[in-house]
Amino acid sequence: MGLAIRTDELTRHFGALCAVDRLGLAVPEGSVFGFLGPNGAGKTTTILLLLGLLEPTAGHAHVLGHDTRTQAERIRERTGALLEHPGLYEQLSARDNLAFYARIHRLSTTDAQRRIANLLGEMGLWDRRDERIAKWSKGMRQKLAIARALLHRPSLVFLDEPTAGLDVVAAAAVRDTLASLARDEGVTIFLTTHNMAEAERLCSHVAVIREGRLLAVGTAEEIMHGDTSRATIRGRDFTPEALEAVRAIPGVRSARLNGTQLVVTLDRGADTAPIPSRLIAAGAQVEELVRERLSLEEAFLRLVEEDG
Amino acid sequence: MIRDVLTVMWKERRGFFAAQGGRWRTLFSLVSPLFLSVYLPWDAGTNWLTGYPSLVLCGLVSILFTGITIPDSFAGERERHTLATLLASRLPDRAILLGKLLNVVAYVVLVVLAALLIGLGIANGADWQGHLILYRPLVLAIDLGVVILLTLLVGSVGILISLRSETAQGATQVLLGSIFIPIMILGFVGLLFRDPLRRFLSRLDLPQIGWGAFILIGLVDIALLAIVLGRFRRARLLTR
Repeated sequence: MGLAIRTDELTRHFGALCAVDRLGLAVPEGSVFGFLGPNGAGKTTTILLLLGLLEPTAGHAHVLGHDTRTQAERIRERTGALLEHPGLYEQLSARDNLAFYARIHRLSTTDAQRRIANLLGEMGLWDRRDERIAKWSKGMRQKLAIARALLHRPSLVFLDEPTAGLDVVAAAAVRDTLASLARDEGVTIFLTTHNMAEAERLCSHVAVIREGRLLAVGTAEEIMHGDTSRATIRGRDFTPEALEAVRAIPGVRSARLNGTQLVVTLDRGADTAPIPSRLIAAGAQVEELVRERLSLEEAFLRLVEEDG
Repeated sequence: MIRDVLTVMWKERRGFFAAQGGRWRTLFSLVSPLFLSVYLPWDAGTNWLTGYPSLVLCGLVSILFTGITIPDSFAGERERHTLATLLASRLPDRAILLGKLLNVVAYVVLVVLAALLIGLGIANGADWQGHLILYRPLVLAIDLGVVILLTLLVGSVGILISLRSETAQGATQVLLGSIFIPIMILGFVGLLFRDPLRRFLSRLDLPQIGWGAFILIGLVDIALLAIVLGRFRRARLLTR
């Protein structure tokens, strides 16, 4: 599988502030790539750099095979974007907002009409297509802005907080649309979000950024567990001999007592089944073994905390 | 490129007429051209059609209309948070700039043509010669030339101001100030030195000065357009 985005030491300074610091990303084609980070981490700046709207201070980025420094116009032709603000013309109707971007992307009149009808229908906005959007709710505008980003069937879509302001039902519908775009049409989706549950559900790949620096990148599974997993065992009589017996099991990296619980760190994918039998054989009593599963939010918080 | 320019013009036109209070704003903006297109020809009679008093109408309408509409071009988009999305589209820089500028030129030319048509009727009605007198072709050509040149002049300055302003209102104040303060100062100086100025002007070849001014404004327009195109940088607009 090719790469939709590749960055190499991508850096952007604003005066003394380093907004993006030697960023190295490889976003596979057809993936849903979650770009996570606290406020001011450099997520939006990264999107602007990838769209060729900002010049990098150092480093390089290639989007859909095009250099962001020299082929920005070609990149913007083949990508769709929902930036920090929906960027809709409030004095125009929903249909005219989309018609303007259909003209920009040179869709034929018939194709534009069909595409606009499809997208407005999918987003549940068809009945209000001729209303000026000035009095629309934030959620409705957000849906319209997503429709605009998808209008010209781009190969790659940048979405900055796509479900912000949407109600639960609308957010789920948007997530479904995005997931099916990636799955059925091979569209690469690069999205930023503060909603970790959403990222966990939607993203095949995740990167965590803080103060412009990349803290972690990989599949959601890799980010959540790193290269290890943990098991917690409740019971009694965890003697030093019992701990040694556990440490001798292949795949176990460490075993330590945490109060009355035994915490075992294993290689990711290692089997936990031998642990209770070894403990029992060493004279311990085992009540329960729980394999820990970190949520993406916990993994994210841990990464941010570890970074200081 | 032409198609992209027309796309931007399409959006600008729709946005202008569909804006909040758009009908009232349009009607209000037409009051002064309507008044001028009635009062001035009534006062000038058929000289309105054969001489150059219509240049006053053309000049005023061009400056006023452009001064009111062009500041919104970029400052308004920035204020309404639509600029970044527009810049993230595939539209080339020149199409965005020229689309916004040419839309104003087209609008001003239409308003002036309508005003001149009203003036034609009023001038003939006020000073009926037994048959319909039309504009001299040279007068009409000069009128339209002045409209285009002045609209481009004020439009280019307006875009330069709009590119740097946070709000459309701020840009309008700066632009109108930078147009009318020098005009008022010149007018005041003219009043102070009225007699020497009159004597000085009577010694000059006015048509020749007129053509000279025409060429000078044209050259300034070209220079300003080049500056505007040079200063239009997507990154600069986003990092303000």
